[in-house]
This record gives sequence, structure tokens and C-alpha cells, in this order.
Amino acid sequence: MMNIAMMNRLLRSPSEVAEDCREDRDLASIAASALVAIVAGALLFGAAVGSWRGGAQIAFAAMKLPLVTVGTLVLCVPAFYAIAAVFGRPWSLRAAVSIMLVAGARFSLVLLAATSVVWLSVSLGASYDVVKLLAALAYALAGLAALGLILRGLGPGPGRLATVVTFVGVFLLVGGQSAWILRPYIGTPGRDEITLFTREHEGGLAYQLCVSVGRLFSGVPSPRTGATQ
Amino acid sequence: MNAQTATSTDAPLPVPMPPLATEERPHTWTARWLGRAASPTWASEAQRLLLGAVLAAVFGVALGLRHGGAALVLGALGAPAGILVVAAVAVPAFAIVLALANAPLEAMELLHATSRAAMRAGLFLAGLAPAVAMLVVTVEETVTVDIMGFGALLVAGAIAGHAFVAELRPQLAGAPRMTRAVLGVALPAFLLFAAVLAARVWWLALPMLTEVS
Repeated sequence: MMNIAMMNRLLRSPSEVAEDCREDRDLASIAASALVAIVAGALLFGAAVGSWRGGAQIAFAAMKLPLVTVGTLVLCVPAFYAIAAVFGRPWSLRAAVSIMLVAGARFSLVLLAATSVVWLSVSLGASYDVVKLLAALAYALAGLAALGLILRGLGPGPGRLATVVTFVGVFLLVGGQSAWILRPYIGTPGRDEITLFTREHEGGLAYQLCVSVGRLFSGVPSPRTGATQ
Repeated sequence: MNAQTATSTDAPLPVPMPPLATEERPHTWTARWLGRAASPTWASEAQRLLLGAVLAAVFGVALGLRHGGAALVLGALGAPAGILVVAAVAVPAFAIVLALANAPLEAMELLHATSRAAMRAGLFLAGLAPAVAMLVVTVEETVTVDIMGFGALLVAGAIAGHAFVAELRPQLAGAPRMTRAVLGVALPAFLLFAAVLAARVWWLALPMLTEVS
């Protein structure tokens, strides 16, 4: 179950938790709590995002976001282990995995905090583009919180910046693509049917975010189909 | 590097590397293979170089997943080829230049630096392999795969080059002034040559990264 004290430590004292991971102290308990936090946070955030369309989309998004988060972590752990090692931190695989897990847990806890904001905006009738950008902003903030833990986890010493820059590059690519292949989360604007996956060519994640920003600032009406109002 | 070095009056005395204390012994797999060996042997360095190549091959297999079949084998052979060709062609050429410049460096030290650099590049590539496998299978545009694949290989090459220089620099710092002047030109020239050579080998050996959609 979710260890509240552990979650509190993760948010307030990330340096201590990161040190526990590096020193291989109580890793089983840390990893179990982190996994629960990752799944719970992503699940609830997914449900809030999916509520823009409503119906089955809530369940689909709630199911897919934990998959994306855990899948990205699984794919990025070997990269983190290798990048940390080649830049001067030859840790054990257990230490690398646990640091990634606690960073993922911190990420999901921030998503959990953003869940209510997303739900409220949907409830107030926010457009598709607003919800999409709000979700992207929540992801960016969560990413910064996770990055803070990774930086503390790396500790002082040479190669820290190179490790972070290289890893963040890999993580953004993998996370972005994982999220992209499992879309839609909010729903497809202008369409009534709810689909688990879409296979349409839509230009990629970065392109779609630019389209939404462009629509918001150019005054072109944003799709509202599917909003609960 | 040679007998001339040993007998030269202005060459500094070789600094013996102290054996690792018990508490300093590598405690992880990566520390063992990336760390400095107290007494490197030809066999152990060849083993390290081979391991680096095998790890790079994992990355090659990930690249080959986009097409499957023979591309898996081509990738497995092509990715380590750049590293091995630099180790087999560029490093011996650099060793000759070092000997001509009377640099205080033994062949074993050069091999040690080479194998550690290769191991770093191989480990980096192997670490990226799962992520690259997912990306090459799911990304729509071929050009994205090309940029990603070459980007990873170039970063791996830069990591190896940096590790190689970082390993040799302290040993060459004590060389006579004339030798240091020659090395000031020879070392960057070697790095440039190694980078171009590796890039050319990867270009030829990894056809999946040169196709356009």
C-alpha cells in the first residue's frame, strides 16, 4: 500500500531518499511505495484528462497513462544506468532502478496534485486545446520535480551536468513517443466515437502542441465537442 | 612506448599505479569494467574491448528491428565496427606518432585507454538500446530514425574520445616540452581522424541509417 510517510519524505527530503537509494537502504519498501504512487497518480490524472470526452474515455485514459509512465521508466532505466556509469557514477543496477522509481513517484505525485486543476477546468467547459496544454504543463512541472530528485541522486562530482542533459534528452524522446503511440487520452475533437487507440498520421507530439498554441493565440475556435457542459 | 623512451635523459620516470586497496576494489559490474586496472594485461584489455563491441552490437540489433531479418545481423555487426576499426587502425597509427614524438607512454597504457574508451561507448549504446528499439519500431518518419541513430553513435564516439584523452592527458603531462608541443597537434588530429573514420564506417556498415523514406 501507499506509504504516506514515504511519500512525504519523497516530496520534502528528496536528497535523503536519493541517498537511501544510492546506499541500498530499505530499497524494497521504497520501490513498492514508489510503484504504487506512480500507478495511482497517473491513473487519476488520466481519468481527469479523459473526463473531457467522458464515458469510456475516462477508463481508457486512466488505464493508458500508468502504462505510459511505467513503460517509459522501464525503457529509460538501462539508459540511466549506462549514462550515469559512463559519466563517472558506476552504480549497481538496483541503485539506478530505485532512483528512477522514486523520481517517477515524485513525478506522479505532482500529476496527482494537478488532477484536480485539470478536472476543474474540464468541469468549467475548457476547450480541447486548453485541456491539452494544461496536461502538457502538468507533465512539464512533474518532470521538473522528478529532475530535482535525479539531480540530488547524482550527488556532487564531475559529469553531473552531462549525465542530466543526456538523460533528459533520452527521457523526453522516449516519454514523448510512448505517450504518442498510446494516444488519444483526451479524445479526438470533432468525433463522437471513443477509440482506445488511433493510428492516424497526426504529425507527432511536438507538432500537435504547436498547433494547440497557435489555435489559442490566433483566435481560431477550439473544438469543444465532448466537453461535459 | 619504446627503448628510446626508457633511455632518454629528459623523459620522466614512469609513475607506477598503486594497487587498489580492498575498500577501493570495484563494487559494481560497471566499476569493474570502466575503472582503471591496477595491472592490465593484453588478455584483460582484449576482453574489455570485446565486451565493449558486444554491448555496441546490442544497439545495432535495436536499430535493425525496424526492418528485421538480415538487418538485425547487419546492425549487430555494423554498430561495433566503427569502434573496432578505430581501435585497430587509428590507435596503432597514433601509437607510431607517439613513439616518433618520444612520448612517455607504453603500448599497454595506450591499449588500456583504448579498451576503456571502447567499453564506455559500448555501455552507453547498450543502455540506449531498449529505448531505441521502441523508437525505431514506432516512429513514422525514417529520417527521425536516421537522426536518432547517428546522434546516439556520435555521442558514444564523443564519450569514447573524451575518456581516451582524459586517460592519456595526465601521463603525457610530464613529457618533455618538445614532445608536448607535438602532442598538442597530434592528439586533436587523432581525435578528428578517429571521428571521421568511425562516422564513415558507420555510414557504410549501417545502411538502415542512410535510407530516406
